[in-house]
Amino acid sequence: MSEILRFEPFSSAVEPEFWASVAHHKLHTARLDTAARDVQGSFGCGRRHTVRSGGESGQTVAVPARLRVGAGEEGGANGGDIVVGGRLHNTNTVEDFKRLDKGALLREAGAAVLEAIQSGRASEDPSLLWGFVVVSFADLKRYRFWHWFGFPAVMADPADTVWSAAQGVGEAVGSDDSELAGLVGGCAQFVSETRHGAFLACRRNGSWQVRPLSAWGDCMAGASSGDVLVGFVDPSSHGSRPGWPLRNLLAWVRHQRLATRRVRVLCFRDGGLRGASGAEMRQRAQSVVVGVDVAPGSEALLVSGWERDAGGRAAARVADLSAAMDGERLAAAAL
Amino acid sequence: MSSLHSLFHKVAEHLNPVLKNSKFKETGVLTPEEFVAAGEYLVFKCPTWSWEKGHPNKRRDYLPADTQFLITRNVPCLQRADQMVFGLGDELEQVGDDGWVSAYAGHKGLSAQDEDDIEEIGDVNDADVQVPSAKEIERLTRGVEGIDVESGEQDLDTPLGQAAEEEDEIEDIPSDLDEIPDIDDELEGFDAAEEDEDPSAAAAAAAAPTTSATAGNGDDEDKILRTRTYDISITYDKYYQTPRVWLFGYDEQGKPLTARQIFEDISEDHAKKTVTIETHPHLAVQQASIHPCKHAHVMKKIIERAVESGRREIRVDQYLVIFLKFMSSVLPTIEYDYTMSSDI
Repeated sequence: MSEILRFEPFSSAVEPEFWASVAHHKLHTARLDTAARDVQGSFGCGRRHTVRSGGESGQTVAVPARLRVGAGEEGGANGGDIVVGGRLHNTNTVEDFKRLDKGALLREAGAAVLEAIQSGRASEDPSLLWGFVVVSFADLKRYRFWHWFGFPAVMADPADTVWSAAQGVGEAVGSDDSELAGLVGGCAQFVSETRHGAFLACRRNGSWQVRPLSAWGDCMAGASSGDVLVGFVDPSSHGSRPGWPLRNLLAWVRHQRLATRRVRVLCFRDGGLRGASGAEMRQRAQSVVVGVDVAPGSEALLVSGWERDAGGRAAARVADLSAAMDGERLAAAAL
Repeated sequence: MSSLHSLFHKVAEHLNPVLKNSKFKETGVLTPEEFVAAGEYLVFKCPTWSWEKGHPNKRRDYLPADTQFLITRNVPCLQRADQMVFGLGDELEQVGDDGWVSAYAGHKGLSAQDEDDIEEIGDVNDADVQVPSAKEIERLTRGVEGIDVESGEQDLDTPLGQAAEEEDEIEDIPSDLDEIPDIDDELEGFDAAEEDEDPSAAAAAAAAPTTSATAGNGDDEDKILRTRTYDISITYDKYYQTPRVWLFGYDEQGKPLTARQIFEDISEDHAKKTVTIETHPHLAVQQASIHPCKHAHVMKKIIERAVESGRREIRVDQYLVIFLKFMSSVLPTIEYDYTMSSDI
């Protein structure tokens, strides 16, 4: 049996600004109202860091993929980041927080993803594939924020498998530098201009065109399978494992009724290489191409994605911001 | 430390006129326009850095609305500063160590010491300043002439050094820092969320720093590290007319670091002397900041020595790249990007 495709889970990165805005909203607007509220988060390309300190300098490390929430419009996203919407369920007591039916919340979010796929809305706006859930309880007296993130992934049953192991984008494209530059540069440009986190790359006559998901029919018509890549902005920096956003993108692919079950996926990690020369891209590109055998879907909606701790257990977290949000100091700063 | 000091700084910053004419070669300071130009250059050369708008209420009108401050996020920090085998700090000439302003005195309470500090800050004597040696300057200015090309070819199989938390007690940290609360106890009683069995989720065990591989998956090619990470921002300090570095850290599980923990990632020479906990000028929270009172002086020395050693003159837009190299001696283990791409 072929190898199951595994994904690098998201970890949440909550900037203190986010909790400051939650606290502000709770005190001044929501008060005891616990209605869920829209929030925004963002993720960007995964990257590797070359270590300069300690041990052998020049080592490279990969750091975990993150979904970041900050304050204000677009969750404080950077230029090339993909903005996604989430639902914040803030409770009034820690007991309520514990009692929330988290399984139901995640399934609800997963069902919304599926609906966006089936209605075709996700083809126009891929960020609908990645709605997330946050449950929280804000202890405003002690500046402690209990929270738990869920990144709903519509599961494939049976699981999708790998038919062609991950390889660098340079190898996948071949030795032609200008072709590589066209692909990587084209993706970087497309992502920064449209802010779409998922796209298609189609090769016609040796040059790559990057198109939105809605161009699926066009791209597939008459193309041989090697000439279409399903691409996404990949927050993972793992050598062979794609990041979490691919899961729901594969659910989207499943819905497109393929003639073949095999697709090639471009895990795009080179948002920073826009405008680089072909030779430079060959040296520095970190994107990965992996061949996925997309399993035929089952009817049941199975969802996973509550964030786990380092030990692999599903567990809530507490952020203690008493040092960063001391009331007197904030008052002095005239928020 | 003291809100009195913050208040002083804020008033002084308000009264201090915006620097109009370039004085960067003479004194190592920047005008707001030069800060923006140097920031543009940094963002262009190191795309992990980007501009931020910050809190609308805190917008500084001498900077364009879209370029209020610079930030880089999710920067790994593999080990604590005192675990460094070779310290860049060792290469620095230790000039008049006593002269360092002791700006940090815990972030609550106020002592008579604080008022002394306020007078001391802003008045820089040559003897006070830790100036990098010629060798260090050589190192600092090297990248400006176009090297430091990153090689993508690295051996990922080699296990990394002891990146896990160290056990050492740190004894000489001011005692009034917040104790780290034992929150984990309180988390008991939470039910694991109902969730469907998921064979495709990568085994979380592979994420632990010491684990070499997910058994049988051929994943041992890679090390996904759970390290501390930092969000680092650079603001323009109108009073000192220099960039100023702010740190917000997260532990291996993504929880915010305490001040005490952040101090572990700052070189010993600076941790208790030039780091303060203050409200971020563009955000609504307090962060650790490297006090900028000596920055201009050090930058001036670096610029002078670069010229003396016969190197090309340093352009003002290269200021931040050099500044970040200088900062790497203060933050020896935080792996932020100050390298340049090869197309200089």
